[in-house]
Amino acid sequence: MKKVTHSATETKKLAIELAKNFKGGELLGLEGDLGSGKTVFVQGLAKGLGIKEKVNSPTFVLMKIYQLPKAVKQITQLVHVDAYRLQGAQEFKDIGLDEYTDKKNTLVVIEWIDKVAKVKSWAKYKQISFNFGEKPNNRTILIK
Amino acid sequence: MKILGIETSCDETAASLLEISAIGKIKILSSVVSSQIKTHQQYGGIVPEVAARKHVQNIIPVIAKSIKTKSNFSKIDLIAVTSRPGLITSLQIGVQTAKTLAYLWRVPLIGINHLEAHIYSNWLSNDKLQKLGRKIFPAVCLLVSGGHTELILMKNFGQYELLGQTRDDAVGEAFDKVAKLLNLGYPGGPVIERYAKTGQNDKIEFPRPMIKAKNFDFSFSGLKTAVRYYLEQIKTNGKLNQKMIQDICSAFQKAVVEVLTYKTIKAATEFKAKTVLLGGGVSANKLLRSNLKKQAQKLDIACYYPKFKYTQDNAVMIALAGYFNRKKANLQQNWQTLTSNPNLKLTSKK
Repeated sequence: MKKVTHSATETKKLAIELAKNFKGGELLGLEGDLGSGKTVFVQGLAKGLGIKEKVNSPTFVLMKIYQLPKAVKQITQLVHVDAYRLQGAQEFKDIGLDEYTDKKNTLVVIEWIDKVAKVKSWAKYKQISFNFGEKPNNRTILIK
Repeated sequence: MKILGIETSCDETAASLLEISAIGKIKILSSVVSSQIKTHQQYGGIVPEVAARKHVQNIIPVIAKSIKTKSNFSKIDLIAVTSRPGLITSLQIGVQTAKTLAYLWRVPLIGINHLEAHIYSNWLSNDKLQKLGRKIFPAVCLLVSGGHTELILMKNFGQYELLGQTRDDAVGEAFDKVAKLLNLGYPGGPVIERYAKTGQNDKIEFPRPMIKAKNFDFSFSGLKTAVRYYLEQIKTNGKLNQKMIQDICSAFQKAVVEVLTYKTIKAATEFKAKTVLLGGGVSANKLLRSNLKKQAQKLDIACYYPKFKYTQDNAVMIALAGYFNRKKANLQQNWQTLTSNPNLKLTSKK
Protein backbone atom coordinates (compact mmCIF):
# COMPACT_ATOMS: atom_id res chain seq x y z
CA MET A 1 0.00 0.00 0.00
CA LYS A 2 1.29 3.44 -0.91
CA LYS A 3 0.01 6.67 0.63
CA VAL A 4 1.03 10.26 0.16
CA THR A 5 0.50 12.60 3.10
CA HIS A 6 0.83 16.37 2.96
CA SER A 7 1.50 17.26 6.59
CA ALA A 8 2.46 15.76 9.94
CA THR A 9 -1.22 15.89 10.88
CA GLU A 10 -2.13 13.78 7.87
CA THR A 11 0.59 11.24 8.68
CA LYS A 12 -0.79 11.01 12.19
CA LYS A 13 -4.34 10.54 10.89
CA LEU A 14 -3.21 7.76 8.58
CA ALA A 15 -1.66 5.94 11.55
CA ILE A 16 -4.81 6.41 13.65
CA GLU A 17 -6.77 4.71 10.86
CA LEU A 18 -4.22 1.91 10.43
CA ALA A 19 -4.17 1.17 14.16
CA LYS A 20 -7.57 -0.46 13.82
CA ASN A 21 -6.19 -3.12 11.45
CA PHE A 22 -3.76 -4.74 13.85
CA LYS A 23 -4.68 -7.84 15.78
CA GLY A 24 -1.75 -8.17 18.16
CA GLY A 25 1.62 -9.91 17.90
CA GLU A 26 2.69 -7.80 14.91
CA LEU A 27 6.10 -6.27 14.57
CA LEU A 28 6.24 -3.03 12.60
CA GLY A 29 9.57 -1.81 11.29
CA LEU A 30 9.71 1.87 10.35
CA GLU A 31 12.32 3.03 7.89
CA GLY A 32 13.07 6.61 6.91
CA ASP A 33 15.49 9.46 7.42
CA LEU A 34 15.64 12.04 10.23
CA GLY A 35 12.45 14.09 10.20
CA SER A 36 10.53 11.84 7.83
CA GLY A 37 7.62 11.31 10.24
CA LYS A 38 8.32 8.04 12.05
CA THR A 39 7.66 9.30 15.58
CA VAL A 40 4.57 11.19 14.38
CA PHE A 41 3.32 7.91 12.90
CA VAL A 42 3.81 6.08 16.21
CA GLN A 43 1.99 8.91 18.01
CA GLY A 44 -0.93 8.27 15.66
CA LEU A 45 -0.83 4.52 16.30
CA ALA A 46 -0.92 5.17 20.04
CA LYS A 47 -3.84 7.54 19.65
CA GLY A 48 -5.66 5.02 17.48
CA LEU A 49 -5.19 2.44 20.22
CA GLY A 50 -6.66 4.79 22.79
CA ILE A 51 -3.42 5.61 24.63
CA LYS A 52 -3.71 8.94 26.43
CA GLU A 53 -0.09 9.28 27.56
CA LYS A 54 2.35 11.43 25.62
CA VAL A 55 4.34 9.34 23.19
CA ASN A 56 7.73 10.95 22.67
CA SER A 57 10.94 9.81 21.06
CA PRO A 58 12.54 6.76 22.68
CA THR A 59 15.91 7.42 21.01
CA PHE A 60 17.65 7.89 24.32
CA VAL A 61 16.00 5.23 26.50
CA LEU A 62 15.63 2.90 23.48
CA MET A 63 12.33 1.36 24.48
CA LYS A 64 9.11 2.70 25.94
CA ILE A 65 6.08 0.63 26.87
CA TYR A 66 2.54 2.00 26.91
CA GLN A 67 -0.43 0.19 28.39
CA LEU A 68 -3.75 0.56 26.59
CA PRO A 69 -6.54 1.82 28.87
CA LYS A 70 -8.86 -0.65 27.12
CA ALA A 71 -7.80 -3.67 25.02
CA VAL A 72 -8.20 -3.21 21.26
CA LYS A 73 -8.92 -6.70 19.97
CA GLN A 74 -6.25 -8.58 21.92
CA ILE A 75 -3.78 -5.72 22.15
CA THR A 76 -3.14 -4.43 25.67
CA GLN A 77 0.25 -2.79 25.20
CA LEU A 78 2.27 -0.88 22.64
CA VAL A 79 6.03 -1.24 22.69
CA HIS A 80 7.88 1.64 21.02
CA VAL A 81 11.51 0.92 20.19
CA ASP A 82 14.12 3.14 18.58
CA ALA A 83 17.07 1.42 16.93
CA TYR A 84 18.82 4.69 16.02
CA ARG A 85 21.62 3.94 18.47
CA LEU A 86 21.71 0.18 17.98
CA GLN A 87 24.24 -1.71 15.92
CA GLY A 88 22.60 -5.05 15.24
CA ALA A 89 19.71 -7.37 15.97
CA GLN A 90 21.66 -9.00 18.81
CA GLU A 91 21.24 -5.76 20.75
CA PHE A 92 17.47 -6.18 20.82
CA LYS A 93 18.14 -9.09 23.17
CA ASP A 94 20.26 -6.86 25.37
CA ILE A 95 17.50 -4.31 25.79
CA GLY A 96 15.03 -7.09 26.58
CA LEU A 97 12.85 -6.86 23.46
CA ASP A 98 12.46 -10.67 23.33
CA GLU A 99 9.93 -10.43 26.09
CA TYR A 100 7.57 -8.44 23.88
CA THR A 101 7.84 -9.88 20.38
CA ASP A 102 5.34 -12.41 19.05
CA LYS A 103 2.99 -11.82 21.99
CA LYS A 104 -0.70 -11.67 21.13
CA ASN A 105 -1.33 -8.81 23.52
CA THR A 106 1.48 -6.65 22.18
CA LEU A 107 2.05 -4.45 19.16
CA VAL A 108 5.75 -3.72 18.69
CA VAL A 109 6.88 -0.80 16.56
CA ILE A 110 10.56 -0.19 15.84
CA GLU A 111 11.93 3.04 14.40
CA TRP A 112 15.15 2.97 12.36
CA ILE A 113 14.63 -0.69 11.48
CA ASP A 114 17.19 -0.34 8.66
CA LYS A 115 19.92 -0.14 11.32
CA VAL A 116 19.15 -3.73 12.30
CA ALA A 117 18.42 -5.56 9.06
CA LYS A 118 18.17 -9.10 10.40
CA VAL A 119 14.94 -8.53 12.21
CA LYS A 120 13.04 -8.53 8.92
CA SER A 121 12.93 -12.33 8.91
CA TRP A 122 10.74 -12.28 12.03
CA ALA A 123 7.20 -13.60 11.95
CA LYS A 124 4.31 -11.16 11.45
CA TYR A 125 6.72 -8.51 10.26
CA LYS A 126 5.50 -5.45 8.39
CA GLN A 127 7.73 -2.78 7.00
CA ILE A 128 6.67 0.83 6.67
CA SER A 129 8.93 3.18 4.72
CA PHE A 130 8.85 6.97 4.91
CA ASN A 131 10.18 9.05 2.05
CA PHE A 132 10.39 12.78 1.51
CA GLY A 133 8.19 14.06 -1.31
CA GLU A 134 9.01 16.84 -3.75
CA LYS A 135 7.25 19.46 -1.69
CA PRO A 136 8.67 20.07 1.81
CA ASN A 137 5.79 18.66 3.85
CA ASN A 138 4.90 15.74 1.58
CA ARG A 139 5.75 12.19 2.59
CA THR A 140 5.33 8.98 0.65
CA ILE A 141 4.53 6.15 3.02
CA LEU A 142 4.95 2.63 1.73
CA ILE A 143 3.47 -0.27 3.67
CA LYS A 144 4.61 -3.78 2.79
CA MET B 1 26.15 10.34 57.85
CA LYS B 2 27.94 8.67 54.96
CA ILE B 3 26.03 7.87 51.78
CA LEU B 4 27.19 5.75 48.86
CA GLY B 5 25.56 6.79 45.59
CA ILE B 6 25.44 4.50 42.54
CA GLU B 7 24.37 5.50 39.01
CA THR B 8 24.08 3.27 35.91
CA SER B 9 20.90 4.53 34.22
CA CYS B 10 22.44 5.36 30.87
CA ASP B 11 26.03 5.71 29.68
CA GLU B 12 27.96 6.42 32.83
CA THR B 13 28.95 4.00 35.52
CA ALA B 14 29.37 6.21 38.56
CA ALA B 15 29.79 5.94 42.32
CA SER B 16 30.26 8.58 44.97
CA LEU B 17 30.73 8.79 48.69
CA LEU B 18 29.12 11.76 50.39
CA GLU B 19 29.36 12.87 54.00
CA ILE B 20 26.65 15.06 55.40
CA SER B 21 27.05 16.65 58.80
CA ALA B 22 24.37 16.92 61.46
CA ILE B 23 23.60 20.46 60.31
CA GLY B 24 23.33 19.37 56.68
CA LYS B 25 26.73 20.46 55.40
CA ILE B 26 27.70 18.51 52.30
CA LYS B 27 31.19 17.10 51.86
CA ILE B 28 32.06 15.12 48.74
CA LEU B 29 34.51 12.39 49.76
CA SER B 30 34.72 10.89 46.29
CA SER B 31 33.11 11.02 42.86
CA VAL B 32 34.12 8.42 40.30
CA VAL B 33 32.67 8.51 36.80
CA SER B 34 33.80 5.96 34.28
CA SER B 35 32.78 7.83 31.18
CA GLN B 36 32.19 5.68 28.16
CA ILE B 37 32.18 8.47 25.66
CA LYS B 38 35.34 7.29 23.87
CA THR B 39 33.83 3.90 23.09
CA HIS B 40 30.69 5.63 21.89
CA GLN B 41 32.37 8.15 19.60
CA GLN B 42 33.78 5.30 17.59
CA TYR B 43 30.26 4.43 16.51
CA GLY B 44 28.82 7.95 16.14
CA GLY B 45 26.39 7.37 18.97
CA ILE B 46 25.88 5.44 22.13
CA VAL B 47 25.89 1.71 21.69
CA PRO B 48 23.72 0.38 24.48
CA GLU B 49 24.83 -3.21 24.21
CA VAL B 50 28.36 -2.00 24.74
CA ALA B 51 27.07 0.28 27.51
CA ALA B 52 25.37 -2.53 29.41
CA ARG B 53 28.43 -4.74 29.12
CA LYS B 54 30.69 -1.89 30.20
CA HIS B 55 28.54 -1.27 33.27
CA VAL B 56 29.14 -4.88 34.35
CA GLN B 57 32.88 -4.47 33.87
CA ASN B 58 33.03 -1.05 35.51
CA ILE B 59 30.70 -1.22 38.45
CA ILE B 60 32.87 -3.03 41.02
CA PRO B 61 36.11 -1.11 40.26
CA VAL B 62 34.19 2.20 40.27
CA ILE B 63 32.52 1.48 43.62
CA ALA B 64 35.77 0.16 45.11
CA LYS B 65 37.56 3.35 44.08
CA SER B 66 34.80 5.55 45.48
CA ILE B 67 34.89 4.03 48.96
CA LYS B 68 38.67 3.92 49.31
CA THR B 69 39.04 7.52 50.34
CA LYS B 70 41.58 9.22 52.56
CA SER B 71 39.36 8.82 55.55
CA ASN B 72 39.57 5.09 54.84
CA PHE B 73 36.78 2.65 54.81
CA SER B 74 34.36 3.56 57.53
CA LYS B 75 30.78 2.63 58.02
CA ILE B 76 28.41 3.61 55.27
CA ASP B 77 24.99 4.62 56.60
CA LEU B 78 22.93 4.52 53.44
CA ILE B 79 23.15 3.31 49.84
CA ALA B 80 21.32 5.33 47.18
CA VAL B 81 20.96 3.92 43.68
CA THR B 82 19.23 5.17 40.53
CA SER B 83 16.26 2.85 40.08
CA ARG B 84 14.25 4.82 37.51
CA PRO B 85 13.91 5.94 34.72
CA GLY B 86 16.43 4.68 32.16
CA LEU B 87 17.39 1.69 30.12
CA ILE B 88 16.25 -1.38 32.02
CA THR B 89 19.33 -3.52 31.31
CA SER B 90 21.63 -0.74 32.51
CA LEU B 91 19.52 0.19 35.55
CA GLN B 92 19.48 -3.41 36.73
CA ILE B 93 23.25 -3.60 36.99
CA GLY B 94 23.32 -0.72 39.48
CA VAL B 95 20.25 -1.88 41.38
CA GLN B 96 21.41 -5.51 41.73
CA THR B 97 24.87 -4.42 42.87
CA ALA B 98 23.37 -1.99 45.40
CA LYS B 99 21.02 -4.65 46.75
CA THR B 100 23.88 -7.11 47.19
CA LEU B 101 25.97 -4.54 49.05
CA ALA B 102 23.01 -3.48 51.21
CA TYR B 103 22.46 -7.10 52.18
CA LEU B 104 26.12 -7.79 52.89
CA TRP B 105 26.75 -4.60 54.85
CA ARG B 106 23.33 -4.50 56.54
CA VAL B 107 22.83 -0.97 55.35
CA PRO B 108 19.51 0.66 54.34
CA LEU B 109 19.00 1.15 50.63
CA ILE B 110 16.99 3.65 48.68
CA GLY B 111 15.99 3.79 45.01
CA ILE B 112 16.37 7.24 43.46
CA ASN B 113 14.57 8.92 40.60
CA HIS B 114 17.27 10.11 38.24
CA LEU B 115 15.35 13.32 37.44
CA GLU B 116 15.01 14.28 41.08
CA ALA B 117 18.76 13.77 41.44
CA HIS B 118 19.43 16.19 38.56
CA ILE B 119 17.41 18.82 40.44
CA TYR B 120 19.51 18.22 43.58
CA SER B 121 22.73 18.71 41.60
CA ASN B 122 22.02 22.42 42.19
CA TRP B 123 22.59 21.95 45.94
CA LEU B 124 26.03 20.52 45.17
CA SER B 125 27.02 23.64 43.32
CA ASN B 126 25.49 26.52 45.26
CA ASP B 127 26.25 26.98 48.96
CA LYS B 128 23.50 29.55 49.08
CA LEU B 129 20.86 26.92 48.38
CA GLN B 130 22.07 24.89 51.33
CA LYS B 131 21.63 27.92 53.60
CA LEU B 132 18.24 29.00 52.26
CA GLY B 133 16.51 25.71 53.00
CA ARG B 134 12.81 25.86 52.26
CA LYS B 135 12.86 29.59 51.55
CA ILE B 136 13.54 28.95 47.86
CA PHE B 137 10.15 27.32 47.24
CA PRO B 138 8.12 27.27 45.13
CA ALA B 139 10.78 26.62 42.50
CA VAL B 140 10.43 25.88 38.81
CA CYS B 141 12.96 23.36 37.52
CA LEU B 142 13.93 22.94 33.88
CA LEU B 143 15.44 19.50 33.24
CA VAL B 144 17.11 19.20 29.87
CA SER B 145 19.20 16.30 28.60
CA GLY B 146 19.51 13.74 25.84
CA GLY B 147 16.50 11.86 27.12
CA HIS B 148 14.53 14.56 28.95
CA THR B 149 12.90 17.92 28.56
CA GLU B 150 10.72 18.61 31.55
CA LEU B 151 9.38 21.59 33.44
CA ILE B 152 8.71 20.69 37.05
CA LEU B 153 7.20 22.69 39.86
CA MET B 154 8.97 21.91 43.12
CA LYS B 155 6.78 22.98 46.03
CA ASN B 156 8.97 21.55 48.74
CA PHE B 157 11.65 18.91 49.21
CA GLY B 158 10.16 15.77 47.67
CA GLN B 159 7.05 17.52 46.32
CA TYR B 160 6.90 17.78 42.57
CA GLU B 161 4.39 18.52 39.92
CA LEU B 162 5.06 17.92 36.25
CA LEU B 163 4.10 21.10 34.38
CA GLY B 164 5.15 20.17 30.88
CA GLN B 165 7.41 17.98 28.80
CA THR B 166 8.50 17.35 25.24
CA ARG B 167 5.94 15.88 22.90
CA ASP B 168 8.55 14.33 20.64
CA ASP B 169 12.34 14.69 20.77
CA ALA B 170 14.23 15.67 23.90
CA VAL B 171 16.27 18.84 23.53
CA GLY B 172 19.63 17.03 23.84
CA GLU B 173 18.45 14.61 21.19
CA ALA B 174 17.65 17.56 18.91
CA PHE B 175 21.23 18.83 19.37
CA ASP B 176 22.57 15.33 18.58
CA LYS B 177 20.42 14.92 15.49
CA VAL B 178 21.13 18.37 14.09
CA ALA B 179 24.85 17.69 14.62
CA LYS B 180 24.36 14.45 12.70
CA LEU B 181 22.62 16.31 9.83
CA LEU B 182 25.61 18.68 9.71
CA ASN B 183 28.14 15.83 10.04
CA LEU B 184 29.64 17.36 13.18
CA GLY B 185 29.92 14.17 15.24
CA TYR B 186 28.70 13.16 18.67
CA PRO B 187 27.73 14.40 21.22
CA GLY B 188 25.93 17.27 19.50
CA GLY B 189 25.55 19.75 22.38
CA PRO B 190 29.14 20.90 22.87
CA VAL B 191 30.03 20.85 19.17
CA ILE B 192 26.99 22.93 18.14
CA GLU B 193 27.74 25.38 20.95
CA ARG B 194 31.30 25.71 19.68
CA TYR B 195 30.27 26.36 16.07
CA ALA B 196 27.47 28.69 17.20
CA LYS B 197 29.99 30.95 18.92
CA THR B 198 31.46 32.14 15.63
CA GLY B 199 28.20 32.15 13.71
CA GLN B 200 25.60 34.86 13.21
CA ASN B 201 22.37 34.03 14.97
CA ASP B 202 20.16 36.27 12.85
CA LYS B 203 21.04 35.02 9.38
CA ILE B 204 18.45 32.24 9.47
CA GLU B 205 15.10 32.24 11.21
CA PHE B 206 14.21 28.78 12.53
CA PRO B 207 10.80 28.19 14.13
CA ARG B 208 10.20 28.52 17.90
CA PRO B 209 8.04 25.39 18.32
CA MET B 210 5.05 25.72 20.65
CA ILE B 211 6.18 29.06 22.02
CA LYS B 212 2.63 30.39 21.72
CA ALA B 213 0.90 27.24 22.99
CA LYS B 214 -1.04 27.78 26.20
CA ASN B 215 0.74 25.01 28.06
CA PHE B 216 4.24 24.14 29.20
CA ASP B 217 4.97 21.42 26.67
CA PHE B 218 7.82 21.48 24.19
CA SER B 219 8.42 20.09 20.71
CA PHE B 220 11.80 19.84 19.01
CA SER B 221 11.15 17.37 16.22
CA GLY B 222 9.87 20.06 13.85
CA LEU B 223 12.87 22.26 14.54
CA LYS B 224 15.16 19.40 13.54
CA THR B 225 13.13 18.96 10.33
CA ALA B 226 13.35 22.72 9.66
CA VAL B 227 17.16 22.46 9.81
CA ARG B 228 16.97 19.56 7.39
CA TYR B 229 14.84 21.52 4.89
CA TYR B 230 17.20 24.46 5.13
CA LEU B 231 20.18 22.19 4.42
CA GLU B 232 18.48 20.69 1.38
CA GLN B 233 17.81 24.16 0.07
CA ILE B 234 21.49 25.07 0.39
CA LYS B 235 22.61 21.84 -1.23
CA THR B 236 20.45 22.39 -4.30
CA ASN B 237 21.76 25.93 -4.70
CA GLY B 238 25.41 25.24 -4.07
CA LYS B 239 27.74 23.96 -1.41
CA LEU B 240 27.61 24.04 2.36
CA ASN B 241 30.57 25.94 3.74
CA GLN B 242 32.03 26.39 7.20
CA LYS B 243 30.47 29.82 7.67
CA MET B 244 27.01 28.47 6.82
CA ILE B 245 27.42 25.65 9.36
CA GLN B 246 28.32 28.22 12.00
CA ASP B 247 25.27 30.32 11.16
CA ILE B 248 22.97 27.28 11.21
CA CYS B 249 24.33 26.19 14.62
CA SER B 250 23.96 29.70 15.96
CA ALA B 251 20.38 30.13 14.72
CA PHE B 252 19.39 26.65 15.91
CA GLN B 253 20.85 27.20 19.37
CA LYS B 254 19.13 30.58 19.60
CA ALA B 255 15.76 29.03 18.72
CA VAL B 256 16.16 26.27 21.33
CA VAL B 257 17.32 28.61 24.09
CA GLU B 258 14.53 31.09 23.39
CA VAL B 259 11.80 28.46 23.67
CA LEU B 260 13.28 26.94 26.83
CA THR B 261 13.77 30.31 28.50
CA TYR B 262 10.37 31.68 27.51
CA LYS B 263 8.44 28.69 28.84
CA THR B 264 10.45 28.43 32.04
CA ILE B 265 9.95 32.11 32.84
CA LYS B 266 6.26 31.85 31.96
CA ALA B 267 5.89 28.92 34.38
CA ALA B 268 7.85 30.79 37.07
CA THR B 269 5.56 33.80 36.71
CA GLU B 270 2.36 31.79 36.68
CA PHE B 271 3.27 29.73 39.75
CA LYS B 272 4.86 32.70 41.56
CA ALA B 273 8.16 30.87 41.85
CA LYS B 274 10.90 32.38 44.00
CA THR B 275 13.54 30.31 42.27
CA VAL B 276 14.40 28.80 38.90
CA LEU B 277 16.62 25.71 38.84
CA LEU B 278 18.35 24.11 35.85
CA GLY B 279 19.59 20.54 35.52
CA GLY B 280 20.68 17.83 33.10
CA GLY B 281 23.32 17.61 30.37
CA VAL B 282 21.98 20.47 28.24
CA SER B 283 22.14 22.82 31.25
CA ALA B 284 25.87 22.97 30.45
CA ASN B 285 24.94 25.21 27.51
CA LYS B 286 26.30 28.67 28.30
CA LEU B 287 23.73 30.60 26.29
CA LEU B 288 20.89 28.82 28.08
CA ARG B 289 22.44 29.57 31.48
CA SER B 290 23.04 33.25 30.81
CA ASN B 291 19.74 33.84 29.06
CA LEU B 292 17.67 32.19 31.75
CA LYS B 293 19.53 33.97 34.52
CA LYS B 294 19.09 37.34 32.82
CA GLN B 295 15.36 36.87 32.28
CA ALA B 296 14.81 35.55 35.81
CA GLN B 297 16.70 38.43 37.39
CA LYS B 298 14.51 40.93 35.55
CA LEU B 299 11.60 39.52 37.54
CA ASP B 300 13.55 39.28 40.79
CA ILE B 301 13.56 35.50 40.64
CA ALA B 302 16.72 33.75 41.78
CA CYS B 303 18.29 31.42 39.21
CA TYR B 304 20.68 28.57 39.96
CA TYR B 305 22.41 26.02 37.78
CA PRO B 306 24.79 23.17 38.53
CA LYS B 307 28.57 23.32 38.11
CA PHE B 308 29.56 21.93 34.70
CA LYS B 309 30.78 18.64 36.16
CA TYR B 310 27.39 18.02 37.80
CA THR B 311 25.34 18.71 34.68
CA GLN B 312 26.36 15.30 33.35
CA ASP B 313 25.23 12.05 34.91
CA ASN B 314 27.12 11.45 38.15
CA ALA B 315 26.66 9.62 41.41
CA VAL B 316 27.14 12.58 43.78
CA MET B 317 23.67 13.85 42.95
CA ILE B 318 22.28 10.35 43.50
CA ALA B 319 23.85 10.18 46.96
CA LEU B 320 22.50 13.65 47.77
CA ALA B 321 18.99 12.71 46.60
CA GLY B 322 19.40 9.73 48.92
CA TYR B 323 20.06 12.14 51.78
CA PHE B 324 16.94 14.19 51.06
CA ASN B 325 14.88 10.99 50.85
CA ARG B 326 16.61 9.16 53.71
CA LYS B 327 13.50 8.81 55.81
CA LYS B 328 12.01 6.52 53.19
CA ALA B 329 14.90 4.05 53.45
CA ASN B 330 14.16 0.92 55.39
CA LEU B 331 16.80 -1.47 56.64
CA GLN B 332 14.49 -4.41 57.11
CA GLN B 333 13.07 -4.81 53.67
CA ASN B 334 14.33 -2.81 50.83
CA TRP B 335 17.26 -4.88 49.63
CA GLN B 336 14.65 -7.54 48.92
CA THR B 337 11.99 -5.34 47.41
CA LEU B 338 13.69 -2.62 45.38
CA THR B 339 13.17 -3.01 41.64
CA SER B 340 14.23 -0.98 38.67
CA ASN B 341 11.62 0.76 36.58
CA PRO B 342 12.49 2.00 33.10
CA ASN B 343 9.56 4.39 32.63
CA LEU B 344 8.57 5.90 35.93
CA LYS B 345 8.38 9.64 35.78
CA LEU B 346 8.85 12.25 38.41
CA THR B 347 5.27 13.31 38.90
CA SER B 348 3.15 15.01 41.43
CA LYS B 349 3.22 13.92 45.02
CA LYS B 350 0.59 16.24 46.35
